[in-house]
Amino acid sequence: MSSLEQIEPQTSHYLDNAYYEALLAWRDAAWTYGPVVDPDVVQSSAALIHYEARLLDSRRFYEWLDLFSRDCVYWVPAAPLGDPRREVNISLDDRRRMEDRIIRFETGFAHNQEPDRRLRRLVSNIEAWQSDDGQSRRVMANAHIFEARTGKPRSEFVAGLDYWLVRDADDWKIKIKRALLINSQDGLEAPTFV
Amino acid sequence: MNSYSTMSAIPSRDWDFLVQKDRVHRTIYTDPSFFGEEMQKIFGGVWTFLCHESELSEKNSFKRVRMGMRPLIVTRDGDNNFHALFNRCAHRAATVCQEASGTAKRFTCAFHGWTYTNNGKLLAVPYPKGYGDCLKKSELGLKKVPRIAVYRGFIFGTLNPDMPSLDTYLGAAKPYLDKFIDRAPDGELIVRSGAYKGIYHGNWKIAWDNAADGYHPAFGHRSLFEMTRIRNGQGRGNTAFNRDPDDSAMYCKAFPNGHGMLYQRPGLGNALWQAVRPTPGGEVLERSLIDKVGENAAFEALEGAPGAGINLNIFPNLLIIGNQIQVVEPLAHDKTQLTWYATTLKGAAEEVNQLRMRVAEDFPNFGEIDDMESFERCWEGLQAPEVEWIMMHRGLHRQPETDPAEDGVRKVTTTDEEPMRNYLSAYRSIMEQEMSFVVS
Repeated sequence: MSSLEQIEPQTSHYLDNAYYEALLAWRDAAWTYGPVVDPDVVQSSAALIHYEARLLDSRRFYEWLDLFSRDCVYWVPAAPLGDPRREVNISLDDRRRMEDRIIRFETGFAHNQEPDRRLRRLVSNIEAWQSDDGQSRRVMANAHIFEARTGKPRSEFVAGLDYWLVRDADDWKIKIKRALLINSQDGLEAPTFV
Repeated sequence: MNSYSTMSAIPSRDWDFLVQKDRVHRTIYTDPSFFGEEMQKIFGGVWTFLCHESELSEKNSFKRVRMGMRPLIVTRDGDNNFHALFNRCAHRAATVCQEASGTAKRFTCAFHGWTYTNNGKLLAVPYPKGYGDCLKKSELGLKKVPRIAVYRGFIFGTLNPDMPSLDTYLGAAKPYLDKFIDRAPDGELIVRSGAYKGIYHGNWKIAWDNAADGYHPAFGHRSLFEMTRIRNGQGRGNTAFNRDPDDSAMYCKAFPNGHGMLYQRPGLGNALWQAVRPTPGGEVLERSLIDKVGENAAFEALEGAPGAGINLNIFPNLLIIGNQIQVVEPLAHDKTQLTWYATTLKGAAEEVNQLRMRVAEDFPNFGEIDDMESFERCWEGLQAPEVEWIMMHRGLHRQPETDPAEDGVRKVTTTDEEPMRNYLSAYRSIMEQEMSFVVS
């Protein structure tokens, strides 16, 4: 069980210049990946990515947050190749801002969540690679997200997903999740969580 | 060669009925025939914001925009002159430019190969002998918005030869636009940091009704206020909305020509940086700046990072909100795009401009989404034909303050609906006019 009280950090000290540099180098390295080399890496990564999708769809936000490392970033760029230090994104959340979103939902006054938005996402085309030292992974996937609200037309979002996983004892945590919406530079109809 | 068009006012419209002192009729929002006329007369009939000079920083750069429904290409030519060209081939009307922005000396229509220079001249057509001697190239350039004018980097255009100068049109709203721009140490705003584009289902005027509405925040944005209180205590955000905002030092102003303002600055305490909600990487950048220039200078510079607390609305499509520029882009009578351009300050520390990006991502994600929900609920409610009126009479019993130093400006309390009455009165006077447009 997680709750508001368990969320403690109110400071954000990790999003420094070195972090941005690493973020951009990681993003740009996406083009260098060839075919998958180890299907087991794909399989075990897919379990995590599918679990993440289910937690989001079920609005189990605290458990979802637990999948992320302490120094995480959840990034939805507007321009696919922009530098977030100089450009605005649809969102670039550190852990604190991810928590803020959850708290906003919980206030009971998030009007754009009423009537309820029911989401289901299909995540597929999962590919994954592990670093030589076994400490990090890159996972790429496609997501097709459907959102329904009573009395409203159904909306859908399509995004390429890109994850940086880091080893956490016997487990993996998400350090960076990047969701590149195919219409990120066009108008968006208030997405809840990509 | 100029071409002209004249738009009469539609006589069947009884404007005394549609836009009254205290209420406005639903049909101006819901009837698509109003939309068609608005897109011609409101957007283009008065000075309409096109883009910012800094978006066209190099020679031969261009940006696609719309003026109402008209597709335009704003260009900076090789001699550094700006043009607002109709993105419409003189031959069969196809658009000649598909990219959102970039650099190009020429635009070639992909349909039949007609090629234009970036100042609109027709350069060449394929197989010209097929026209004999009847191809009058000088008459077949890309048509242009005949009047464009720049105020401190903001490029506006109008098709209306009778419009007074841009300076006159901005009038008393200008000092507040200056206030927003003058936050830059070098006195210049730079609009080259991308944009967040949100779409809602509803008429564009619903966003305008809300544009200087100091009545809604405590309710419409209650999730943001509550979340801020839970997470950050009582001191963050605009605390003046915690009680009746009319008792605060905040205020609204209604300017001539439909412009308006909600001045939130007094609600944000003594220091904007202390009031802004925590920002991703905020602590790191604050520390970095303090290490570089010392605490006093750092905190002074950091005042440039958050929003200015000035919600300034320049009719019909430019809204200054937070540290951003919002452009109201109607897509259809029932669909509107709000484009939030992030901005940086020329001469500001790198840390400050970087913080402006993370601050800019805050309100669209945590506040605007609830506004757009409210707009869509208004739109749904407006579908009831028998319930005809939108009320805007809050504050009508009070006498607005005037100041001889600000001609035609009316100052009212924060929740007063005078800014809404004011823009709708400007709207009405444009719609009532007969206008003759000219394109060169």
